[in-house]
Amino acid sequence: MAWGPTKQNIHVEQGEEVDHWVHSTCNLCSIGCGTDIAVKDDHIIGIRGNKDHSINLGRLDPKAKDQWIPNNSEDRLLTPLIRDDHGKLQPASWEEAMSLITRKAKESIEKLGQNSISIYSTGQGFLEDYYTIAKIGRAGIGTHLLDANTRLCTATTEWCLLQSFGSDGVPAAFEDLDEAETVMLFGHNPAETGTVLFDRIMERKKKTGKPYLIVVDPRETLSAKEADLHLKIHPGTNVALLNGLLNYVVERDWLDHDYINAHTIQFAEMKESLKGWDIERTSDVTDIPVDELTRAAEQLGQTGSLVSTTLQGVYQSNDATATCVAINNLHLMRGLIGKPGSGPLHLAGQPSSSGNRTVGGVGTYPGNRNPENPEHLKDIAELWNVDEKKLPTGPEKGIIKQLELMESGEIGFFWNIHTNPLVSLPHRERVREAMKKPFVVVQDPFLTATTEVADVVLPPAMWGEKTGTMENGDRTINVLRKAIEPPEGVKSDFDILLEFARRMDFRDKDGNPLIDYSEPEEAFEEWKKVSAGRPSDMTSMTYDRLEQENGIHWPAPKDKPEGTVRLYSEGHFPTEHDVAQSFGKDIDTGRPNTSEEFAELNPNGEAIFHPTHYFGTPEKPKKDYPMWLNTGRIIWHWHTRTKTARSPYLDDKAPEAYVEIHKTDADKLAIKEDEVVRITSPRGTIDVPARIGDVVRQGEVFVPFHYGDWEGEQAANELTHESVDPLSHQPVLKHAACRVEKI
Amino acid sequence: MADLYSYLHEIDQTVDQVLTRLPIHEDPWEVRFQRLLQEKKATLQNVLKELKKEEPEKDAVIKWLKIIYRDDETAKLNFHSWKRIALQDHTVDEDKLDKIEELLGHTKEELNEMAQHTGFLTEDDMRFIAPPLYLKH
Repeated sequence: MAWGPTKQNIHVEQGEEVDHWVHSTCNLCSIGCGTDIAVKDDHIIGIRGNKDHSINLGRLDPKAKDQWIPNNSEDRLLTPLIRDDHGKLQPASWEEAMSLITRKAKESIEKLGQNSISIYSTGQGFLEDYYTIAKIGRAGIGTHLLDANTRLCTATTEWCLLQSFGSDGVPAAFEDLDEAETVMLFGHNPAETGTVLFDRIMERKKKTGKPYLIVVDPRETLSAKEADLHLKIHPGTNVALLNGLLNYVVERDWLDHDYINAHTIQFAEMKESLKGWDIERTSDVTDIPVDELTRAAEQLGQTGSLVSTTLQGVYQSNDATATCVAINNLHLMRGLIGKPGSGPLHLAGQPSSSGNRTVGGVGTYPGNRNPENPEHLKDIAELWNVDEKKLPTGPEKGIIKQLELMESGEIGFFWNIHTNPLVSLPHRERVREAMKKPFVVVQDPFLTATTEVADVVLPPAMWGEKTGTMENGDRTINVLRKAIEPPEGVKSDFDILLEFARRMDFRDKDGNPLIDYSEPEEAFEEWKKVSAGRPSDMTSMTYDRLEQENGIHWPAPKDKPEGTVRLYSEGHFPTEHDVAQSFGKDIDTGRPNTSEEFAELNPNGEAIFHPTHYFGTPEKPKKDYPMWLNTGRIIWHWHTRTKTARSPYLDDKAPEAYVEIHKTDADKLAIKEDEVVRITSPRGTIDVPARIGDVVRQGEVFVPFHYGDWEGEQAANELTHESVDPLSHQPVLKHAACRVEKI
Repeated sequence: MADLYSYLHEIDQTVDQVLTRLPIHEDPWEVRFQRLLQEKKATLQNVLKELKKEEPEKDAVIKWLKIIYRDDETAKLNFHSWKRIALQDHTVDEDKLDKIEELLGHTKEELNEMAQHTGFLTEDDMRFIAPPLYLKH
């Protein structure tokens, strides 16, 4: 049954008649709303929500309504650019650009080895692109360095799922939000970052009073305002909070012992780690009053069904993976997983970041295959008809580690696809210096802060100008049809990758081209064969079915073409040694476990409890930097605004960065509303106008991260630091020390 | 086998030199870093003892070498995070951190070289023992 009434949002260029509509999916956040693209005279002139799509019932996020506008932007790049001897980017032909790229890639491999090539891609591409990157990167080049901006987005999702359940794939689905008695939004503000999903929750809440809504966030966000219980947490204390809540639940024996006994291991070790976390200590550490903690623990301990969502408030904090694992622990100990209305729903930020992990463009090998398992590598080698010994082993290297490799000259060629790291990465001055060292290719429809360090810029097709599939935050695969041809001079990512593979002359072990498909649908059909029998099996999906069904949840094997809404309903987990996608990591240090250690642990189809220890933030306020800096998202913009700033409406809504500051702190500093103030951290300084109120707690400030160029626009990531979570290697962008000064 | 023992003995001594310098200023990164070194030290003791046997058990050696390599790679990541914060906050003398970094660099070189010397261990074994950035391509 639909979760609410249909409400079709449409935004078409004023005064224009639509020739036809083309089936697509929103290319912004991870909710995966069904859309149709309005076309007239081979131009995209608008968008409407797909009212038959169960995820959005026709609704669109405010950003989504304008996402077609950048396609028609006058400053789109329509030709490749090559940096000349005077340091200027000059127009070039595709032949010139691709020849140069190929030559530089070959030179780098020859001089520095195959691991000198890094492909840093995106969470906004298509499965077909990612799968091709996986094949080029792993079997063509043989590099170990495939990463993406998903490292800033959902790397923690992946690692918490690998740790607890043996494989990627979020257990619950959006459908579970319609039935849950309790929903906990942990570090997740969907009222701004996934508005349609928030509509879905609030539609039922307004009618029935359910679900009981718990929001964990240091700020009084729009989501928090609607909560039954808002836990206004002290920065960096997520694990402490969960340890306190779980300890309360364990002490009262609100446990599903049958479930724990039948389907899990290591409960005792986990329980031991909770010792000492009584509510009073938890309150001291988290700054949350005892009565609120007690209410939360009683609700979580006694609710009949529970969905817990997480997003950047967790992922970009310290102890990120441990926090998400603690949430998994809660669901496991209460047996609230794999049942309607229950399960962890660790979300993604981008429209297809999960897809990149699933097909192996980042993270592990395609189809949830374990890069440390020789049998899994043999499997892939056979499917790709390549020499297994040439496939790189081991866990991947995140972008922060790659910065070190750039600094030390070990990366000679860095290919940056659809992302803007010189705004989005922490401590961006360091990033800029590091990226000056290798040969840098940037694939982006527009000039960005990152193209300033590019040696070559390639202009790719945008949403609506290419065909492919995306995976949203709840394992739904959607198809996006090409509505129009890309502008003259522009190529799709898919075609660029294929051209690179052809020029590099990548071949299989019989001497045939490594990549023998030429269309996205052919790539998808090949990927389906690779997925067969694996957790993300998509063998019964076809482009036509994905369009007709308006998306299908994976797995959708041959004997279950309708797909699978929620995972683990049988209480069986993919943790057998020969099945697991990873052998996991030490939860405290991040050291990868060995095959032998995992065999000794022997989860063998059962979920794994992990102890969760609270380490705290690497950087804390101190004398010269007495305040906490938090960074994050606002409703009007997407990432670094490469697209949303080109919508006059969205740009007008939020044209510049600002700092939220508590009124008491503003009074102390004699700061007035809108007054430009200086924020300084140990790494940099920005000047931005103040917004005074009580959205943030006293002693804390918040700056949206969307802004920044090299021409004076203020970037929050001038201030942030590059510490990462030890397991997921996701940067801690949420907690830095700073001071605020009146100028 | 003698080569292997020699590399590991050298690494063991280097780990000792780092461990004697810790703890300096406890923070989350230093705690993790020290824990990894302690694990590496204990594992080195195991593997050195095994290698002294007339017929070392290959599977046991492989198991421990995997841990040593993974400890090393992870410890370096943790060390660099610690170093950045420590230098920024002036909580640890730069000289001390530089010395530790030098010792870690030496360990990495030994592990790199060890990964190339096969004999008791084959190239295939080493592929799954040493992480890719320790193997020459």
